[in-house]
Amino acid sequence: MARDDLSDRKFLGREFLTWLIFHADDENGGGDFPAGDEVDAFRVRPGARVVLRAVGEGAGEITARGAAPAQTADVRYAIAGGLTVQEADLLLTRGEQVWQVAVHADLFDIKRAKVPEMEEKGGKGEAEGAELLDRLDRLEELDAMLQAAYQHFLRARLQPAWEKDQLPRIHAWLARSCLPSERDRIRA
Amino acid sequence: MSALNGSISVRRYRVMGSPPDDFRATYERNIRAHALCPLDPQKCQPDERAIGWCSVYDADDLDLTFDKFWVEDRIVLALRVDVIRPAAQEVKRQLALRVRKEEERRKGAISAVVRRALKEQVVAELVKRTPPTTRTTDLVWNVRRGRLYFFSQSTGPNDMLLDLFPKTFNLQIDTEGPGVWAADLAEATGLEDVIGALKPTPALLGGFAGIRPDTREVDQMDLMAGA
Repeated sequence: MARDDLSDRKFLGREFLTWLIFHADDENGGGDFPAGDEVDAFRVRPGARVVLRAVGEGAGEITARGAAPAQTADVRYAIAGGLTVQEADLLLTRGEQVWQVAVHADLFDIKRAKVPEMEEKGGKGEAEGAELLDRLDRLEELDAMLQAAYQHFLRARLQPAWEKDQLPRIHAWLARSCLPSERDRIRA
Repeated sequence: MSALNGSISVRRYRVMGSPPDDFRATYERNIRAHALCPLDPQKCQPDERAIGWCSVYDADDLDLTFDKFWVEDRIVLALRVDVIRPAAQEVKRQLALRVRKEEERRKGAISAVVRRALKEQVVAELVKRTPPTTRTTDLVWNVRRGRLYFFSQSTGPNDMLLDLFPKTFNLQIDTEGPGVWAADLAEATGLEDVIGALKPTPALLGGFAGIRPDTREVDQMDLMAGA
């Protein structure tokens, strides 16, 4: 891991997106996040593309695509082997509204975001101004949800319980997904 | 991809500091001072660039009054870059013609030095006939929140923004991301020391032991030495 990554704590971006895959699984919280100061309650689900990468220069990269790649054993096997999520498509849902976005771990750059559509308003000129304003509001709402989800992760990450509670849970979740013996044991 | 339509791709920045009390007048004056000055092909050198602000609604609108860039607490502009660069194919074609003509005149092959001089001549002539190519990148700065969205993640436009924004607004900007947001939360919750000492989680970045056959226990020293 490069020195810059440590000093500016960029590694937290990858840890967050990887944790998000875990948190989005139904048995670990279903991707639900509570309402906060800036946002109403919302849900985050992984989308159709997840990019995983190992730490270090020149490390290999794996891209998983499909209806729900984050739920596949392949992606979890990769996480178990030390690959972290570098970029992920996410679906953020608040009530009936859905935001679709790809988020990159390094700077949380927002890519290819589709925001909920506005309702028709006024004449052409008025509608154009309202449309821009609406898009900007929706973009800021998306960003606020992303920030709230990250803060939720950080609150867990900064506690001593991270090592004692969260990591063993992630380990058990990965084991259930990857090890046939674990799956059989649970079924039994 | 723009602020007005299509899917949205942005990099976010934090604007360091606050606008002055008279920001309406100051920013209108400064933005107009840094609006794009169109290139004149007759007076341009090859690859000459012009960089400046334009309206987000119309790249040719450079008369930027406050009402044109102010949208409910936000400054909405586009960073426009004009370049005059003759098409490589046309340079090649014209140069071949010129070389053939010169070789016929001299009744022999021309040297590399002469060829280079001919190319410079061809490019200089084509520049005068080449209209500038224009690229714009939208920018939205929520002045109240101090957050700026720039609708590009490419290095070139972002470097231009980092150069032009402080010159225009007399405020610095810095990229936001996981580290900055973590520092914000630590400050708000009094956990600065914890965040200061934070190290990567070995299992998350190095692998969970005992699940895959080739996974071993990784410690933080391994991760820090990893690259």
